Amino acid sequence: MSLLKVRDLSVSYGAQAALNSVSLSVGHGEIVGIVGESGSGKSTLALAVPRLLPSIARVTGGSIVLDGVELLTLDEAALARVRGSGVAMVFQDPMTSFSPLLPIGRQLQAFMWRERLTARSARGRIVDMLADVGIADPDRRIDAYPHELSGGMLQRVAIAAALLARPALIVADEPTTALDVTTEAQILHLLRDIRDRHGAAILVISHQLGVIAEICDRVAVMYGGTIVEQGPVGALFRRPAHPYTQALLACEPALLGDNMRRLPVIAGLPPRPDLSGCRFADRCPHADASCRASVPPLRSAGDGHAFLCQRAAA
Amino acid sequence: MTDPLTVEGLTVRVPGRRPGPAIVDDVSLSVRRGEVLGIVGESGSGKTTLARAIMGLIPAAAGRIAVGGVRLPDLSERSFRRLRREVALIFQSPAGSFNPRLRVDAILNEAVRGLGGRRDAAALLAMVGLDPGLLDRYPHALSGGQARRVAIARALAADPAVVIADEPTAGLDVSAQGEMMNLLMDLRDTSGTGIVCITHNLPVMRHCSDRVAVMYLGRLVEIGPTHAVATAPLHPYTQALLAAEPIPDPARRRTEPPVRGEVPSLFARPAGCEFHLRCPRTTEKCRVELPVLRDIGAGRAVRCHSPLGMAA
Amino acid sequence: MAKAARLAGLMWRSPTGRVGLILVALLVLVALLAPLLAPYSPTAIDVRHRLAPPELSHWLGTDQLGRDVFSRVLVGTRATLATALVAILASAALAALLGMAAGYGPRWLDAMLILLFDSLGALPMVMLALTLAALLGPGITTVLIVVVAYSVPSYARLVRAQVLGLKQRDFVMAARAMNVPVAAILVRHLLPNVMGALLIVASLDVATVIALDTGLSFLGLGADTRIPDWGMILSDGFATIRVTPTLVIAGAVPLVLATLGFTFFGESLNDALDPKTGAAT
Repeated sequence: MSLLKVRDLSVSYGAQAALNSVSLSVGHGEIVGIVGESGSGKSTLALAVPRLLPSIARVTGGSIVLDGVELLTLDEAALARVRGSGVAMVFQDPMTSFSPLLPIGRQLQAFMWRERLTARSARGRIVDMLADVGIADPDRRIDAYPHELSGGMLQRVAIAAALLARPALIVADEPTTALDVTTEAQILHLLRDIRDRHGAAILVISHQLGVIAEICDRVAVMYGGTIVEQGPVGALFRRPAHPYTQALLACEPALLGDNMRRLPVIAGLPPRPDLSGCRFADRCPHADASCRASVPPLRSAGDGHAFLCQRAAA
Repeated sequence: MTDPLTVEGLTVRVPGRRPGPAIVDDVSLSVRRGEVLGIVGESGSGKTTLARAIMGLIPAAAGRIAVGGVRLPDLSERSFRRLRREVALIFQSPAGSFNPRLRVDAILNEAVRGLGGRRDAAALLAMVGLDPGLLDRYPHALSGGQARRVAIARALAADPAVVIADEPTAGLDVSAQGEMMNLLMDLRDTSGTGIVCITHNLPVMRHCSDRVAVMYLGRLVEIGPTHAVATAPLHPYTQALLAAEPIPDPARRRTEPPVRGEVPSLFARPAGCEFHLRCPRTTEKCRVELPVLRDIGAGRAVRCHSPLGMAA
Repeated sequence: MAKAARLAGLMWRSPTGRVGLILVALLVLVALLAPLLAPYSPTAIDVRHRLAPPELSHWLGTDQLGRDVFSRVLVGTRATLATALVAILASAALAALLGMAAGYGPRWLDAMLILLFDSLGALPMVMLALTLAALLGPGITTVLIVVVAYSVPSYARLVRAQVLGLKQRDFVMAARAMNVPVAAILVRHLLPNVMGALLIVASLDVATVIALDTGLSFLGLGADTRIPDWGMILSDGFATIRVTPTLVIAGAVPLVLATLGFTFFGESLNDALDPKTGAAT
């Protein structure tokens, strides 16, 4: 049974639809990546799971089931129990994830409110967790203020904070976007390590295909508020079925041959919210009139690999 | 053919009464006509500070700058005013570099007037493929892509010989990155403008730049033709940077992160070679003696006691 | 204009804003129409009817020289508000100039100006007023100088802080990179972005300036003694308080209303302009 099952989830910001009937599942201990451009709805999906969407967002349909419990109908008290031990979050900017006024040890202690520990044992747990995420000298660092730590170290602390309540699922929204590339490599490695040692499932959101390829087991590609392709990471990268996925991979500079005079681009603009039919049709090199007229069907491209397109598989 | 921009020994220090640590330390480089020079580095490398110091927006503690082969007499505001007619800067966040109360035509005309250019605002927009209808818009009414193009148009106000682009691809999706870099390369090809591209995006750099300079903690550690540096890096840090970039191919995952540790703080510079704490090839000499930037031929230079693939 | 209407609409939503808008509108109306509204000339002396209590022909009674108090209050409103307005405008203009010079100019100029602001801020206003009155004689000039000396240091420090922050913003750096002349940078890029903060601070200050001006006038150091203002009415009231309290009340009530009104106005304007709470931008 899946740990997380999102089914037909639709979310709107006021009159504008941000998510359109999105379905996704994450198994226990699985690392699933969500990749898409800005405006594709990936952050909305990420925030929807722990129900951290802003108040102007409305869930207009669907369900989110975590470990057998429907999250959308929970009240605040029940939600508070789920957050932390059920699902924990790691945000993009470690600098703004913490209050600048308190040492990190104190802030992490606040995350363990559920377990009534003595100050000493709480401190011991935190020191152990800091060491676990690769922070050197944790006895000293636990009393440091956020501004005394580098971005990479703070993101490790953020991951430690997420792990404190032993969550089954960690949602990481662009966890390395704000970091240097050498630090990024370390944090990605750490996330995979966390899954291996703690068994937590991870939902990683990113706009960088490299990040997704580096650690994910399965990938969902989002465009215009829907998941246009989903599948095991190897199959999706080697045999992308949806034209948008194919175009994204074609644009990746790291995959291009040498001596390209110009970089490839995807022509056109992000979709208007009121489009019917396939949302990628205006920018798709293979689209025809029927693509714009009707909603594309869900098709299979292999084991566990599905995509939304009505034309023959590429 | 003289290089349109040459910088020698440029040093910028943290402001304050006592001479603070150097943010940019003794950097020398030149931009050639019709080339794209990439400057890569991570946070703390000083690359943005370098760009602003070249433009005279931040005071430099030392250095000599020559524009079009003519050495500037000093680093006074007067000299920089001359430099700015030949060298233009595009900021990282284009929307942030516009006064939100001015319309596009006012923004462009202000640049033309200040720099003594001769094009009008509509012509500048046409040069970047934008419709003159945008002249009446305020910056907040422009899309991200349009704002970027307007920023480039403004930089072209006086037909500069060199354009410095600070992180032109930051925050952009892969397709938008391609559009942006193609624009800059078009500029290079049609007008022979030299482009300095400051970035931490290595894969883009590999494709778009002719030469690349790598900076670490304010110093140049390697410089050379892009293809050579990317396929056979000499400095261990360059190699680490190249290896660290996650590749969008699950078959090429790394089992170990390519480099440990983080960039040290400017205020706690390691002695000797600053990379020695993280370098897999550290020797005793590296711990005590700062290596000099050595020219090793074929347009390549490296600052290392034991460069990769070479005898020490 | 449309923006002003929108701001007023936002301010109307809160109770304090409503009170503030109404009171300020009332005061401004009275100030503008005072000569038309006043039933008597404020200086018309009628000693036979001195110190009359409030009655139909004199709504607030008469003062010790038989002058109609109501008319004096109305005309006094005009005098007080006008003085306050002129003083604040002068302070804001001077503060903008000095603040920009301190924030954007060379370090030594900044240091000197900060010293000036601190010194002015340390002066007790009443002592300053008395000294100036002794040197220059009482009158509008003295009042203006005192009010300006009181307001400029805090306004100018605010402008300076804003400029120091704006100087680092990309669009100011970009202007420098385009060789835009310093004067143009100050006027076109810095000033418009500084005025918002000045406006808020000035509007919160009106009440204080009115009180200061009234106080000076009460002490006899104020402007032209032939034109009545609230301070004078108060001062006359204190002299005649054993006979009738009407004068003191007549002088104090408008002052209280003005203080309340302008303070509420300033605060709700501040809230309306704050991008986080008011969303007026």
